[in-house]
Amino acid sequence: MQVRPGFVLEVDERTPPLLVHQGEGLTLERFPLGTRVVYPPESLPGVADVDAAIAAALEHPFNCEPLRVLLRPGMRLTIAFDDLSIPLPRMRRPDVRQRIIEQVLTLAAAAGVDDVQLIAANALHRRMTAAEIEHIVGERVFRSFWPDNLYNHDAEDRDNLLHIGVTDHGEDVEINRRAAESDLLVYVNVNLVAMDGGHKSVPIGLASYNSLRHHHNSHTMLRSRSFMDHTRSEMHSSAWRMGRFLADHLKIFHVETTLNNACFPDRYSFLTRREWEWSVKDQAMAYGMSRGLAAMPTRPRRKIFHDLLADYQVTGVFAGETEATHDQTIASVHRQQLVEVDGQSDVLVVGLPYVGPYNVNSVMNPILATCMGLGYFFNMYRGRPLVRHQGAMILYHPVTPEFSQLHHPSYVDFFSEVLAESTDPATIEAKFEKQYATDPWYVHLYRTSHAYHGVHPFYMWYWAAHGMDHLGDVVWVGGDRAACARMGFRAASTFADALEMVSGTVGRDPSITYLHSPPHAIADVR
Amino acid sequence: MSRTGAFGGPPRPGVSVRELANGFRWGGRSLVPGSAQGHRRPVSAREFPTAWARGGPARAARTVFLEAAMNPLLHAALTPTVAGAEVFGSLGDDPVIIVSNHSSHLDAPMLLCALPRAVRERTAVTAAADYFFDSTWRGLSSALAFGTVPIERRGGAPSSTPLELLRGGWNLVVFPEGTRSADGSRGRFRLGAGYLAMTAGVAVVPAALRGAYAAMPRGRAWPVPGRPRVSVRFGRPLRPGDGEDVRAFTGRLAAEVTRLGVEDTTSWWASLRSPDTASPAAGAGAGGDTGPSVSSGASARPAAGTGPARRAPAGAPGMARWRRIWEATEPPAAARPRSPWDR
Repeated sequence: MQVRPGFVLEVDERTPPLLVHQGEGLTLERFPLGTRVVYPPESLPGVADVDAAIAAALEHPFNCEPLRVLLRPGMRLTIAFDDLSIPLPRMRRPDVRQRIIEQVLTLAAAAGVDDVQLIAANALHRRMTAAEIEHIVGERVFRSFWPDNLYNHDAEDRDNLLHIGVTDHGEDVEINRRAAESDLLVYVNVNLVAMDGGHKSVPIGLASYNSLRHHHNSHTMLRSRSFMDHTRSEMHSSAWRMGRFLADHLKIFHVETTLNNACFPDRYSFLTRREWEWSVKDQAMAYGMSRGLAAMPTRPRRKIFHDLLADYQVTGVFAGETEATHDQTIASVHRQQLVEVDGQSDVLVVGLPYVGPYNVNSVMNPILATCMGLGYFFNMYRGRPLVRHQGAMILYHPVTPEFSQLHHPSYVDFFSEVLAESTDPATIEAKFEKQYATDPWYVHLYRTSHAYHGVHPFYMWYWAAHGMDHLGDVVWVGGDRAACARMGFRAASTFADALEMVSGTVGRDPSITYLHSPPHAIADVR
Repeated sequence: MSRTGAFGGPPRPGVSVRELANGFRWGGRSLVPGSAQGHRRPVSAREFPTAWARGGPARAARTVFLEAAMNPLLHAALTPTVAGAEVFGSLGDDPVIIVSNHSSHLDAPMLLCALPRAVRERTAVTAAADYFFDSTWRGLSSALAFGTVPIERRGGAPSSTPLELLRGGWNLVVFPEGTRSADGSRGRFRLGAGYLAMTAGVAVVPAALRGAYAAMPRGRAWPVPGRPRVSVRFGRPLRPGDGEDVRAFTGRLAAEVTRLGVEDTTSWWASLRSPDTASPAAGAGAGGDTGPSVSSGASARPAAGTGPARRAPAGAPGMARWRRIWEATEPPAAARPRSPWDR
């Protein structure tokens, strides 16, 4: 079947109510006539034989010898892989990382490599549980290596970090010692969006706070325009410098993969269909879910969402030298996600889904919702933002001030103490970051429990720095008023109210663009 | 601080059932937004089976439906008149293609009910595959009620069914415009009907439907109140001339349909002299122009003191859309000039 590209709909009298995500819920919204709606391209077909594609990529890499040639007896081989923050939702087993790792290990076994370790490149993310790691690498790999030779990266284990040097911009390059001292580091990635992959994998995924602070700061994030375009992102530029520096000291064989847009299981296919093509069953599903989820208690509602496994198909497997590989990867991501949009608008509307990279099997607290909306969705552009400078952004999310004590302990204090002082990223960076980053309790929880690092909520806030700087007004539809006020935003009961509230910024007849996502779409704004 | 629901409530449920029903047009056909027209999914080439609807039981059921239900209903809601149906008597059992202007969902039932029963029982109606056969229930019900057969109007592989039907002795109703007129004027005739006639070697009976647009235009599911007049006028069968190509033949068909519309409002003689029908090429299929309105009762009516030859053709290219609609919806005159040629 022919795959239709993404396009921009203009709402007219014939347009039915449109689906909007709002955290752990859905809603159907009628948008004003003339509203532009950016629809992502339909799912591209996956490669017919994923295993064959992986084998071909390993045998015919870009700018690099075949992996088979790089393996030899007696060598130290380390395989690092992306953690559970991508893809979202989790993909149905077998995860593509499992397939790649199994082939790499098969080649390593054939070459007589004994010293192999696998490291989850979780940087300052929480440690994954054994079950979560097994979901990614598969039972066979898990049973062979867990726990001694398959483990989470620990960015606070000073003995197992190696400071390799500094870049010509004075940036510390410090990564996992085992990876740094290996004869070969194979990095296995899932490139869900254009932001992922490339030199963002090793220099960030296996780094320490000492290294991450050079690009994960308010100044750099503010000048990353956008995160989805690594050529115009200051954060990526820093990572690229570190990656190139690292490549002079360490042999890295990069394996990158791209997925299609099938981010929901078949039974929820209405979530990825265009509304005017919904069958009666789709309409009933959408309406039933929007009503049913609203009436459902929190726990089962959350379980429904977090149990979802996506039917992603692999659209590309690329391997070799990092940059040459990443060029191919980005082209593949763009084929699936890029949508041409003609000009900016006064108002950008987004509906935030239930999950972001940092609340898998957890709750999306207000900080993460802000990062998701103003950090990720706002940055889903190439060229210019979808919304004009000093325009308004309207987001759908309940912004419930609910925090996971297990996963996000430092977020609680960040929300109640730091944001009470200031919401300016530069101010809170200067005043509070060091304290949270070095707090021994947070470090302890990060290392021994499943907590995100103490500094992580700061990074989430920095992600939103560009959005906050660019926008004149931010309103959350359905958001908790107190939580929104704490973060310096406003909440509205309805979309109409939100438009009323932003009218002081954008006037009474603003142009509106609704980014219909997920699945992901990168707006190529001309 | 795990304070579930302490501040933020559950997700907002969104639109009500009523808004949902209105937005998705329950009870009607779902519409594609204008800016999404170019992004519609290509219709699969699946051939909807309709042979069963031409079997004995289905034909009997259709006869009962059309004569016992549809025809009384049409007479209750409209004031129908039929002229020229005697042409079918001269055709014997030879299959024909009946072509007509198309401006309303009333057209097919009006035409079928206007046909003599013997002809109607051997008549199928071509219908857009993407519209009438996009769902199983719609395809089955239209095939049973009106003997519809699907044709592909968006390109792709042409269906072989119409040709097989003609060769099997069935008459075929074709609306060469391909869709209902948006403003009541006759649209461009596509070449399919002419091509079919030339390929199958059958005659074409032109027909003009007048008043259907005013009675039930696009967007209405029931005729307007007041039993508006709707007329069907059949013309003499036409065949391609020697050396005449499909484009010229289609132009002749279009002109004859227009002339029949004028004849219905004036007289046969007046219609021959009307500027609207002066040239067979005017408004013909090849040209892409819209033709004069045949839904109207006023389009070719001579104005007092002016002869038909001096009137600007109604529905001419470039004519404002509102004027075409205005003409198409003008009620037929209660009294009209008497003419010895008028029936």
